[in-house]
Amino acid sequence: MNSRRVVVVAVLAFVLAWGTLVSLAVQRFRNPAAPREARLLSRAEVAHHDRPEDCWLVIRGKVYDVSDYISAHPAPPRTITDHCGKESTMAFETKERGRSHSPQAWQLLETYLVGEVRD
Amino acid sequence: MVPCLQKAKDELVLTLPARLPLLVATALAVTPTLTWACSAGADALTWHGFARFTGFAAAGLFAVSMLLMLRLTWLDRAFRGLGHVYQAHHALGVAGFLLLLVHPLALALGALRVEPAAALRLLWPDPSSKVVFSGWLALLLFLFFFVVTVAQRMPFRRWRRWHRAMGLSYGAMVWHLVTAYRGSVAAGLALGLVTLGVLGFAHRLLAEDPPWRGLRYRITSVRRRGPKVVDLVLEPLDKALRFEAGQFVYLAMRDSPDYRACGESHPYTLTGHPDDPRLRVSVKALGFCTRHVQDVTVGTEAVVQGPFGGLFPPKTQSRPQVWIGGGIGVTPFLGRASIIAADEPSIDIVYCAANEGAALYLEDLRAFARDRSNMRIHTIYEDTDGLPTISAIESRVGSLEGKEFMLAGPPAMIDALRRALRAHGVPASRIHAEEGMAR
Repeated sequence: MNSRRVVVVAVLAFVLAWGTLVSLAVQRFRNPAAPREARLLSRAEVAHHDRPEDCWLVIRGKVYDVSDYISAHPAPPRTITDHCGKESTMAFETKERGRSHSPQAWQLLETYLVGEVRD
Repeated sequence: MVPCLQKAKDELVLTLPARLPLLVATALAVTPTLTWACSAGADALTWHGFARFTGFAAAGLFAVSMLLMLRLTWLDRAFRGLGHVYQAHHALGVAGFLLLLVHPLALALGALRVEPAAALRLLWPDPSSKVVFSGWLALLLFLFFFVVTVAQRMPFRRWRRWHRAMGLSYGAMVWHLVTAYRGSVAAGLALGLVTLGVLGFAHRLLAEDPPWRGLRYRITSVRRRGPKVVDLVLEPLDKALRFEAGQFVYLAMRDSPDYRACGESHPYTLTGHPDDPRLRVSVKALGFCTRHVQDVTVGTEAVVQGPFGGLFPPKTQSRPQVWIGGGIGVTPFLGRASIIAADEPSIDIVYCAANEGAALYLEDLRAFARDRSNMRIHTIYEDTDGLPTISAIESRVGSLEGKEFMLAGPPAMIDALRRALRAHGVPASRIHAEEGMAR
């Protein structure tokens, strides 16, 4: 296949894939998954979830299971996995040069809520 | 694959394996992305990681592709012909484009798994995010220019204008890399490489393309060979160009009182003897500028860049050769034939033309052959003999076994002959063609 055809096929495939992704994203945006039911958890209970494949974070008194998100996080996994099972409010609020995560990131975090810390 | 030194014309010539320069160029292009992959750990195996991998790879490939459009004699020698440099420029550019298309899709796919709204923001040139906006601007510009200049055919002059404008998309890509820069080594390498690409582009635009850059010559003779072919002789106004027989130069005419130049440089084969300080070229009217050159007058100044190409590698000199040329493409044979000694291995020249009237340089070649017992001239006229097939060539030059083949002429003829020779069992290493003069 010469480069002329390669470019034409690639452009068509790109447009098709782009259209599919947009419609998928719109569909999921309109029909979000039901939020998980929150429950009360002790810090000792949270501390058991301290591995990358089972990673819970405590942020502002709430507990989040971010195990599924680690691979999608823009920064290297260690920026999250170092905090698994621990209090992570400071880390989340000062991720880069003292800046907090974006409002979208805070919003996204809520989709991983599993409970609240019982102090 | 081991570089070797060959003795040729009392000087040592370093011969690199043919594919080595392309491998080096590709290795340079993928350095940022491999650096990133090595430092990414588990992140490299995610959609987001894959997206960054393709992004860095695309940037590196585009950057090296930009460097490979430079018209430099050392690049020409390393790649064994400017044509191979441009082929590498094209291949790396297309590879970069394919990876560039994957980049936003992989990013969006990664985001879609966790937050559809984030995926939607990545799938649109969102002006509130400089990173996303600059990335989409670069992608859409590349998309437009690739569809316009690669996916369709157009006249050379228009194609060159559009292809040059592709620099805009490259600029948008540089902006995207700057806005996305977070201090990583890989991103630093990518930025360094694309900066080199910018410098290369600037060099091409400012130091190579302008028709006043190069060695100054003046036309001393204009001889009409045929209705569409003119032979020019040029004498140096300052330093004379040193060249080897069969090489070509980029030549641009300058305005004179009775001639208005087209303002572009084009490649022309040097047909004269390398020891002659004057340059001889033959110009066939094939496009706008070459049609314009048909009317050039004695006294017009010209600017020369080069020399480039080399249809006759030194290693082939010890073996019998078959030179096959078509139309104006036989001109590299004129210069080469002038330096052949009578005691060198046999040379069969096959001149392909529509008919005898179209074989404009047949008498010149016959004149060279008269003084050289090892040189024989054959003709294949399409009107009476048909196309230059292997059997037609074999019937004239005898067995093709152990011979070197030099092909010169229209690209379609060279492609067809190369395929036919390969199918006949001639090793690729024995087939040589001047491809540097293609766009």
